[in-house]
Amino acid sequence: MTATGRGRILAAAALALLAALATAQDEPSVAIPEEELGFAKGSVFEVPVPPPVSPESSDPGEEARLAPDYDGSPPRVPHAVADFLPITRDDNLCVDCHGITEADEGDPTPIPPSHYTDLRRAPDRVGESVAGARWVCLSCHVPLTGAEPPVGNRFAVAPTPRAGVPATDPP
Amino acid sequence: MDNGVSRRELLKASVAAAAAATVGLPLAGRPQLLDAATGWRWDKGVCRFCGVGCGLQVATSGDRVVAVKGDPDNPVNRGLLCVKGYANAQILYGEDRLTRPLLRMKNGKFDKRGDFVPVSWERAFDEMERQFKRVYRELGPTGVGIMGSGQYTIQEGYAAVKLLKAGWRSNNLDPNARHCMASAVAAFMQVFGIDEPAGSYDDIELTDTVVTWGANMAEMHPMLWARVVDQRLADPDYRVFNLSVFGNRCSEIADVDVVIAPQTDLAIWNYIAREIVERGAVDREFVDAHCVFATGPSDIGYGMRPTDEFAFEAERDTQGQERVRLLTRAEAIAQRRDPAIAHQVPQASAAAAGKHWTIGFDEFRRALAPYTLEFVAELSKGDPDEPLESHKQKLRQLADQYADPARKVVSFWTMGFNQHTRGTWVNEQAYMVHLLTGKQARPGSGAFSLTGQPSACGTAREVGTFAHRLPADMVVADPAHRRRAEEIWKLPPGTLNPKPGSHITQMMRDLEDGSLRWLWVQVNNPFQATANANHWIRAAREMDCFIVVSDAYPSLSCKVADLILPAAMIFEKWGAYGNSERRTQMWRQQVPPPGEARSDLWQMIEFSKRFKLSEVWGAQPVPGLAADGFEAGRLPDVTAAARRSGYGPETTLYDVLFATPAARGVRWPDPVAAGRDNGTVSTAGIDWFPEKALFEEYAAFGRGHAHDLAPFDRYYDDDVRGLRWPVVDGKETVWRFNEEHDPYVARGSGFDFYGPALKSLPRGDLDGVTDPAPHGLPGKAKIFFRPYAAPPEVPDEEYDLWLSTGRVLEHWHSGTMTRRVPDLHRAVPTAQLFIHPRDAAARGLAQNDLAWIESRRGRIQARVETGGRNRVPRGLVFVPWFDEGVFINKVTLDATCPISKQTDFKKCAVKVYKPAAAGGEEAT
Amino acid sequence: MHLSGILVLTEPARLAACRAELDSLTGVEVHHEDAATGRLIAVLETATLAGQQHGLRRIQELPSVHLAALVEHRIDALPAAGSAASDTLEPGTD
Repeated sequence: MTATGRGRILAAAALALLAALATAQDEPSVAIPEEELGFAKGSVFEVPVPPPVSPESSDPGEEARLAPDYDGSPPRVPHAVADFLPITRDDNLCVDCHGITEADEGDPTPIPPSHYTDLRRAPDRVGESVAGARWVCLSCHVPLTGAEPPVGNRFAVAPTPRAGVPATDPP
Repeated sequence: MDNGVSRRELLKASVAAAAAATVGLPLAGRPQLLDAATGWRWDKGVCRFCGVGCGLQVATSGDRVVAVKGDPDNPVNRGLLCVKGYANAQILYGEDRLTRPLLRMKNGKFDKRGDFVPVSWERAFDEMERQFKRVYRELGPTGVGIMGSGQYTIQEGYAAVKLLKAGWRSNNLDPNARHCMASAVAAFMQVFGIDEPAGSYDDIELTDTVVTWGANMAEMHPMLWARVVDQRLADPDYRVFNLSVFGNRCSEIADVDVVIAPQTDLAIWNYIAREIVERGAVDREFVDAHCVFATGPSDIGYGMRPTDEFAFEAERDTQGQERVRLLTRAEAIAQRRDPAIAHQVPQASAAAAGKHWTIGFDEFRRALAPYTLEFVAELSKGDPDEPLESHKQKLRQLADQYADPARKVVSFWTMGFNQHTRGTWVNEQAYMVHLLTGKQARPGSGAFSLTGQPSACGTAREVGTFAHRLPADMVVADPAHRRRAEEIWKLPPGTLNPKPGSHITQMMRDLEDGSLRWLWVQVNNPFQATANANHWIRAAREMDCFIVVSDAYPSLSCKVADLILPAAMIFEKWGAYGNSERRTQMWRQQVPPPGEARSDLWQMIEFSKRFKLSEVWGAQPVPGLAADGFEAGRLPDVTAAARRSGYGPETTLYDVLFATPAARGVRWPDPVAAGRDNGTVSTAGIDWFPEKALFEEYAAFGRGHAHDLAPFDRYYDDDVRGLRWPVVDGKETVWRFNEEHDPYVARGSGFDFYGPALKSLPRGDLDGVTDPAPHGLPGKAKIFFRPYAAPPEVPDEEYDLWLSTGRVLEHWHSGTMTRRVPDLHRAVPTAQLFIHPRDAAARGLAQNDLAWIESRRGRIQARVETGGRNRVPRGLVFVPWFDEGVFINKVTLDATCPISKQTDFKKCAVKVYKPAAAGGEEAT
Repeated sequence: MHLSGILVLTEPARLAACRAELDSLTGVEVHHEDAATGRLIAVLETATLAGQQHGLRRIQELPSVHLAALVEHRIDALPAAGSAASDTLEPGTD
């Protein structure tokens, strides 16, 4: 094994150790009490106090678009939705606002052409209306609360073609 | 390079790839596709989450998964994914992934009171082995167990069955799937003699009416629901009925939304059956040719402990129902008793709850007589604010759908039926109505049990990772089945243990009473997932037991473990899942697991090296065996027979179970890998392909037995997006039991319910057996009469609200994966208490207030939600269980269906109140 | 800049001709093709939406094209490249 190779393996091992101890925030040799593990810190016998929930309260257009997590993932809803629900067979206020093909600055994000394609019955054609299978917008596009994630996620640091790219229309 | 140019090229390539994917250009069908512009490599995969089994396209760049998208070529989801599905990549990258074994230690030694210290795999296995052998020597095979999963890959589940049942001769292997669809299984076996649905998802596009019974598909099976919505919007004659104990997202699309009182589904089915019979809507030709009528005892208890020895003081009254039940007035009527007098009914048939016998049609009709519209409507109306006439009208419309011979009907159900103290019964009632009307096993018609987990069918059920099962629907209690398994596994006769082991809730009870003292938890978070959890977390920490938890993240179960093993996740290993429509789908390993995380398969194979045959295959004590005629109540010593088969004294379980000559003949590398890695192979340092070897060996159980799987390689072909078994002559089976579609059906029969199990029955009447001689029922399905029965715990003066629990769209099960995806956490950061605004106001509670939720078993706090996605009626509250910080299973009741042993997580009685002190910081 | 993913349908026998015709258009690139079904995926780059509609029409009017449909559309902050299809030219003047 080359010195560089060995070094890389040692570095990987050190990283792995750090990851194992990510919740301990101490040097690797320190043992981790069970109370430090998981989301709900403390003993499993205690009853934690859940945080209050602060749903997004802005009106459509007030907040900037949220960039999707990665290219092709569904963008989140950047505004309050309570007033626009429920989505029923006859009413879909999401589609009423977003069902436009051209958008000027400040307009709602247009529903992209892919959403007008009926992938089951006519996959080669862009239809006139939003595909029925996509009718329940909230199955994919969810509004967010102000909650901070208790644990970070390293997915975002992966090199993707989107790195540094401003929000674009979803597929 | 000019950034603008390179970015433009990347963008164009991604637009082109997305467009190609959208229209299903076979770009998507080429799994080895390398996107020249991005450097991403795409391959087919399957979603990690629910039982729908959506097809994915997975992109990797180097050793990272960088994107997923719906696979347009997969007929399950046709390119779509729900918000969880899109998180399949991110779930791998939570910052607190477990990457090293962690052992509780003090002063360099294992100590149950110690803190977790990173150790080597060697050290971890040393301690596991030492603790195992200590317990095994003292208690024998019943002292050890594995809690498995409906999220095991097929190969992992199969390896667990082999290791535990063939190797350790224990049957204490039971999956979290017990909590998920055991009632569905029990009903399939009792009605059809073989497990899993007759129909397929194709029925959604072919039917006229969809009825969801206790299945919030809009949140729990979103992409299947998308197909229902799609069809409903396209076809004005299509009808959707939704039955649930509260209004949910399915209600928003449904034509008819029926809010029912908990447990009254049992009465509603009987009302529908009564209507069908009284209207003359029975399909006599179908019923006469293919069905018999059956029933069983009603005094079967509620699957709780038979003793109150371990009950908390406040639990004793509920627990007492297990022995004697005071019938409610409605129960008395429903069971044709005099409602004017009190009926104290000893639960005498609890130990033989699954017993049943055939009855005549006249008896069946007599049993249905009490279930008039008046009786059932009053009993079943779930919303106190709805007029009775409105509810009646809906029930009538529902009966019309089933009774009308011109309408095709699909009934879907999930946990509302399966998690039910009469779960097996209510599943059977669905078949009752579909069989009566001949709307079963036909394109567009059928009673269709949806499953919760990605491989509850493929692994838990088909492989048989249950305490009583062997692969392909066989059971340990049947000597012929054991013999067949011993032959395939090349075990000495008598190796397998005939006594069914403990189901998953019973294993928790065994921990509490000291009869189970070594437990390995895999792909599962049972200490958060099991009802009445205060008992079990205490047992885990205070009893003399050793608990190993293999997981990818530090779950709540890890917190009560003694040893934590870091596990590889879905695309970090090779695997296969089987979804709700019998579709088996496979994927390749895409990236290596992080750090020292290892596949569960590697963990089992590696650990098996530590057992010599002499340590496990000698005579072994098993409680209860003496009664079965085993000498001294022991499993026989099979070491001599093993020697005759060529196994030496140093032979280990690894040699016998895993690295068999046949398995070692399945070489790695293999062309299906197409250059991809196999972490199980590389860390084990072997030159054979365990995932393929195990799959092929497992498939031998089902081939020729109506469970035929295709050859391993076939699932990796570019043109395959999973195949629905039985796969015969290369063709999948879309509808079983129907001659036009199922090659196993006897020619000329039209329909043939050929399942072999429980097909020899005594005859009787509604009250019991009258002719004990068994009569064969080849090719028949059973139409069961099952009466209405109230749950063991209902709201009263003190605990005045129903509590129902369940899931939300954004989170999977106990949240260990999805809560580590930042946007999923932001979307639903905590499990809220859904409560009717008037019930909240009556308790001085407002939106977002902190509230206590307390039952006889425990109490927790949650934030009040008086609106939101669910519209609970007055008198009922709903709390999702994904949030370990809102540990609702401390509150729920561990009563089960006595036949299926599946817990009823949907019903118990609670009180809700405002914390006394500001801020509510008090603890129990 | 507007990037449009366009599905183009031709006879399988005329795939090569169709590809050549598409390549001849400014701002159009062929990215994928399926010989068995005569389908191609082209990417059209334009500065404006009007240009996109115009470009799509031009593809539809190509002799070998049976059908061309927009299936993917993204807007990006990048300015359109010099090679992007002109938004102002009349149809047929290319």
